[in-house]
Amino acid sequence: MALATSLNASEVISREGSLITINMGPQHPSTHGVFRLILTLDGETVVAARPVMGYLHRSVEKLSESRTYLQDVVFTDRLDYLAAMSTNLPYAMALEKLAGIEVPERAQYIRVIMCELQRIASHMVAIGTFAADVGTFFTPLLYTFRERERILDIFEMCCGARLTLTYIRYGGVSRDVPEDGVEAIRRFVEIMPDKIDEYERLLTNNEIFIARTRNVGILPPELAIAYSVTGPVLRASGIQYDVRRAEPYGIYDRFEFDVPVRYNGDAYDRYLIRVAEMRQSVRIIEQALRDLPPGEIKAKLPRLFRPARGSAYARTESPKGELGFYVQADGKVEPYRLHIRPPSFINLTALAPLLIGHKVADVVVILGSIDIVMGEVDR
Amino acid sequence: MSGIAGGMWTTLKHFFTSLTQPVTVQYPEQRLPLSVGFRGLPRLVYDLKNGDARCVACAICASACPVGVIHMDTHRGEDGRKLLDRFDIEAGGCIYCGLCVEACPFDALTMTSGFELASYNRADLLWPKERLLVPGTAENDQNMHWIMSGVEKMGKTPPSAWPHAAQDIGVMDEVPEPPAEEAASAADEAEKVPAGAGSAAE
Repeated sequence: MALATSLNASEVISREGSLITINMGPQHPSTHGVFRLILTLDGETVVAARPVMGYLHRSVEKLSESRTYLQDVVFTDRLDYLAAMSTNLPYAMALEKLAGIEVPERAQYIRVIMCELQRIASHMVAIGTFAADVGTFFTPLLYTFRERERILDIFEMCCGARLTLTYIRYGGVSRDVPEDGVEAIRRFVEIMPDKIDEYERLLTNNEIFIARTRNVGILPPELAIAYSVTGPVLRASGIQYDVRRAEPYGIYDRFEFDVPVRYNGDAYDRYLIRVAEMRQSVRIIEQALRDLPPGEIKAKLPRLFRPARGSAYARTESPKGELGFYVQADGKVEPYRLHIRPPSFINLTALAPLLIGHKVADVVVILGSIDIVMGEVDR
Repeated sequence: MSGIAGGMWTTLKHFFTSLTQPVTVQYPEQRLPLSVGFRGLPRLVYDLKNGDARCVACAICASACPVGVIHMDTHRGEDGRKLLDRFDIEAGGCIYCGLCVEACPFDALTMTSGFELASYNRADLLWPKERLLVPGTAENDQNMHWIMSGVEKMGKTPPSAWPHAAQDIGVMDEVPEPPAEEAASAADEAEKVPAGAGSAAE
């Protein structure tokens, strides 16, 4: 099978008795970036796994200390580059908490719309690449990317960029959504439920897909809690925890939406959770578009943003899980300390126990089902 | 097998619809329109009327840049105004965040829709001011205003600190001289505004 042949390329490096230690990555197509996994195998079965992170470390937290608060926004784009909106948001929220800024109503609604669009886009990549890892060879990926393209077009209309958006700033958003942007979002929301049905027709009942993913990489709820796993991975393990519901931030308490939950905790459930969340996000966008008020998009701020000494922590539900930003200010134009709690990194710590006992071919499936972005893991 | 058949049916259906309604475009020949306010490479704007670049060499953009790719050398002219000797943007390092355009108090920077900036050698990625100049057409100005909306603007467009640049590079034949009193008042403003805004940009 194709996945096994690509593993053969990363050569066997040592043998201890019957056990084989192999390197998977850092340059491996299915590790979703430069991620290295040292696997100890007994035949085809994984007996030990050690993830090695840090190949994409850019020291974002330290760099932020020498840039102004506004300049640090661009770093947040590059953490989870598949969900830049969702990564902009907690940084902005932490600063707003720190400086006591009131965000205008319209900006709040735009933030919700953008973050939910971004959640859909991120889950599309997650589902598409996960299916490619399982062995569908890019058919579902191209279907999901067809609609992701529409989301990126909407982002381009609103902020001029497609990936590194720098859109959600402290105090609001950088520019208003143009008229055709609102219209594009409305059209997108109309077509999206059918498109999600289409992805499901391709994958959900596919016997091969089920055979490859069901009962693979089961994460029991106790273990999920012990490892502080969040996001779709946690909800697939039967714990109905979503920061949007548990501690509503922004205006999320105004919207009706369900927090999908499933109880097997396997790779298949994690896929189903993502599909269900896309549907819920469409619901939220519909409501937010309906209520979108006119008005200001940015709070009045002094040209020089210099919050007083203090610290603040803000957390949001990013597509990958709970994303937190801790900002410590000392009255200067740059933060004294910026700390990021990246969901991908913490979800990845639970990878090793998930892999043990599975075959090598399942390693890529389990890794794909966790949905990591190395930009966020290594920072 | 019904699940596999369902998926196959979907792909088969799309195979036939794609014959008449393809989702993709034939990129280099066929291009999709870019939206207004697209953040391409930052460019310097010169006025259509007199060919003057609007830049007054205040260096607010350079200090606003998170990655420090805007390089500027200036000197004081005879009339006390700052003159640009050098204005370079490293296209290889630019992250297209648009913070320089938002910071510019003189509408002197915009971003164009060009995104194909690849080059065969590294030296070509350093864009000097002559290469960065674009005319201040309505289209470019609109793009600029979209990029910086949301930031309070002083909204003035002073005459250039290096007025004949456009003429030098041959984009304009004749550069008309601005009226004397207007130039003097503009010089005052050029001195005042960057001083205040410069401390703000810090």
